[in-house]
Amino acid sequence: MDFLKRYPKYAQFILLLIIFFALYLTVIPSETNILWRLPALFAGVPGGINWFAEHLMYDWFPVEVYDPELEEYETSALVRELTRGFSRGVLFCIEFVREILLGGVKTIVAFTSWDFVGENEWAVWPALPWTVVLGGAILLGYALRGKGLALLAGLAIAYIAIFGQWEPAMETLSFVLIAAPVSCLLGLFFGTVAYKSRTAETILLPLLNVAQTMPHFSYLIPVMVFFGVGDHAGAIATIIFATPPMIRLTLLGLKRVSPEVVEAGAMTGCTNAQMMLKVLIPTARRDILIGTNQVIMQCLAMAVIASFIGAKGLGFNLLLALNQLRIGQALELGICIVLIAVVLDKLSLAWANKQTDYFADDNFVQRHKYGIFFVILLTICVILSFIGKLIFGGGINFFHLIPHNQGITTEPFWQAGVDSDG
Amino acid sequence: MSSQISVENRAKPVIKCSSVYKVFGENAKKLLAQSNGRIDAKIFKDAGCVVGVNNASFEVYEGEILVVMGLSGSGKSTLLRCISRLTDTTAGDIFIDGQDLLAMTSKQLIEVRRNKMGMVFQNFGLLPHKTVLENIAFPLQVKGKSTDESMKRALEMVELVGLDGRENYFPRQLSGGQQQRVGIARSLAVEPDIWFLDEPFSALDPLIRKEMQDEFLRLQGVLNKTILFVTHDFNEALRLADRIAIMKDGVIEQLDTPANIVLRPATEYVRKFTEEVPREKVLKIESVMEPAVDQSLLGPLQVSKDAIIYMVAEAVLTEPKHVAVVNDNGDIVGSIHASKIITMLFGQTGAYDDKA
Repeated sequence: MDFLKRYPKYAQFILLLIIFFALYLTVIPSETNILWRLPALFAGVPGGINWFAEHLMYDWFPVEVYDPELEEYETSALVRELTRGFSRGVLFCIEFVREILLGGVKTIVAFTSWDFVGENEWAVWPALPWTVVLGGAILLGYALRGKGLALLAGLAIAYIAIFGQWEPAMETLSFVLIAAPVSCLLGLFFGTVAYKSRTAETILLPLLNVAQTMPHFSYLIPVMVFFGVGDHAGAIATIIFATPPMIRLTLLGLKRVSPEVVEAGAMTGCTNAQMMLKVLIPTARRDILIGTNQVIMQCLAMAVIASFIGAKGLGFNLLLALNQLRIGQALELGICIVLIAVVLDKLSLAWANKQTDYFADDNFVQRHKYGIFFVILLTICVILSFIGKLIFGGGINFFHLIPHNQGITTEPFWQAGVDSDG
Repeated sequence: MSSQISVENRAKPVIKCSSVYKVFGENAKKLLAQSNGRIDAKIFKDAGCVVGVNNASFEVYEGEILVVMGLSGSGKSTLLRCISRLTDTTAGDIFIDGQDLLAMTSKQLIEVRRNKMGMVFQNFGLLPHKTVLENIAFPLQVKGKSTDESMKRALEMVELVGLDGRENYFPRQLSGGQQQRVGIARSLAVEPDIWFLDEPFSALDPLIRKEMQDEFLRLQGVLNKTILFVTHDFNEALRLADRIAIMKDGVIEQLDTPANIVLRPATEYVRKFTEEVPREKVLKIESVMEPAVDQSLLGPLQVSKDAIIYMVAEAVLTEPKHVAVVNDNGDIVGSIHASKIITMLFGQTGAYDDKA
């Protein structure tokens, strides 16, 4: 006894052992014995959730909506209409960016109708020649940082164009250019809310834990149920997935701002908004920029997964290449994704770190030199693409758009490795 | 400078605190109401409360440097933050230029801070993403001044604190002393009437600290602000202050001129501080001089009444006659004899009196 008194941990351990063996010997192994197997108490729950989702999306709260294509009213569920409306909004944004880069009619259709586009042949948004995007990226890199970034951006875009991945790459880019800013803004918003209110923080943190530990694929089904299939669904899944790290890093950054900086802001007479926008967020910039970097990386990581629910672009092609074991093509596509990620990340970083020169006494041309350069570039490249039309005749205009898989490729080289083994 | 504060100024204090209490903890207000203003530290501690400031009442007059001195944890920074309303005061009243600070709405408070107050922080509190110039211009831009105007003013401030040529440096590219100069310039950019300094030189090494103290006195000579200066360095307090408030455990133990604090410590705690201080290095001639004697007894030597005894002791000791003590205008206001200095340096400290 003296031994057990001196080591109470051993006493506990021995007691637990005794209880264990007592239970082991007394509990009878039988399916009806509650102590042996817990009855399926929650058996109905998955079915219930299923029924609930279906009811919500098809039956609950029916409303009359006008369908412009059928030109008549029809009944639909409220939630379904709301989510469809939201999807259409997201899709419109993605299509808008996509058509600036690749051309198309959907944006024009959104403002008019399919009939209008059908009747008027001119009503097509022309694609931006890839040379403009290349020049624009170089210009942007130079304006934001300097020669190094200009070179990186130029090489990346040139690689994508020359290797014939232009169209899927621009599809992915349009998808990321919507998903990433939305994720950043949402993350900043929720991060600042969590910083301001302790209640919001205690609610958000466990949600973030769940969101970040959940496998990527598990987002896809609920998103598909509520928002359907397509680029918008991919973007929504991506936003849900990319926002948590941004929230977390925003919160972390804001919390790390030294109290003296906050006090200094208060003593200079900042209002709440000035405090947040001019003192806290810029001071926490380092962490917030890591957040945006994470968002961009997550968006491109999701590019492939989102292709399962209909997101077009590099991810979808990668999925196909994977299914067909086309290792060379998969490699080239993978490099494209990485290049887009790196360029976007560096550009956003350079943009955030850009300094203002207060002493520059510039005239109009100097102040708007990059804008003017871009207009000149646009003109030259458009002329070039018309010249290309003349040179290549009815064939592919390489000065305008390089179609998918019409560029140079290293695929046979890699494929040889797979085939010879097989 | 204390003697220069006129009677009218005393009637209208710039900062007036009466029975200010700051107690940290959840039930602070209730406990304070129960205790009726008499704080028993033990009861508060048992209730999980920490007393920051305990019944502080004092006034700061226009153009005066009041130094709040105390060891860490004595509540000096808390007191400063109560007066700048960076923390909420638990009880008591604070008036800034006669306005009730604690009753102000947040809008009024912002106005007061934008126009009347400037503050310098121990670790500078600079915005890391802004250059020197942008940091200094920041309070002006917050006020809504145009970029041109605020930059022009910021350039003036850069010149005032001697940072010319470093306008476009970032805080991280500057040394501690230079960063604090930026902090000082920023706090002065809006031309505040009241200047709060929270241990501004404590993070600097001794040589730079001395230099910055000189700089501070030079600036105050030019600007003549009402200053509340917090420090834990007694020598710094003696050097800069018109009056010193010594704090211990949230209580102001003594509030008086440096000479009086050294000569007549009010409590045992204050006495301990002053014990180590060489008096001749702190006291001005003014505090040991005697009434002016007849012209015939005066030697040719004249010393300023603001001169530190130590600095002029040798000259006075070699003068056989009485030495004339003059004010800034050259008028004779008193006299001093070598024998007085000898007593001062080697004799009993209680043997002379303060005439300030």
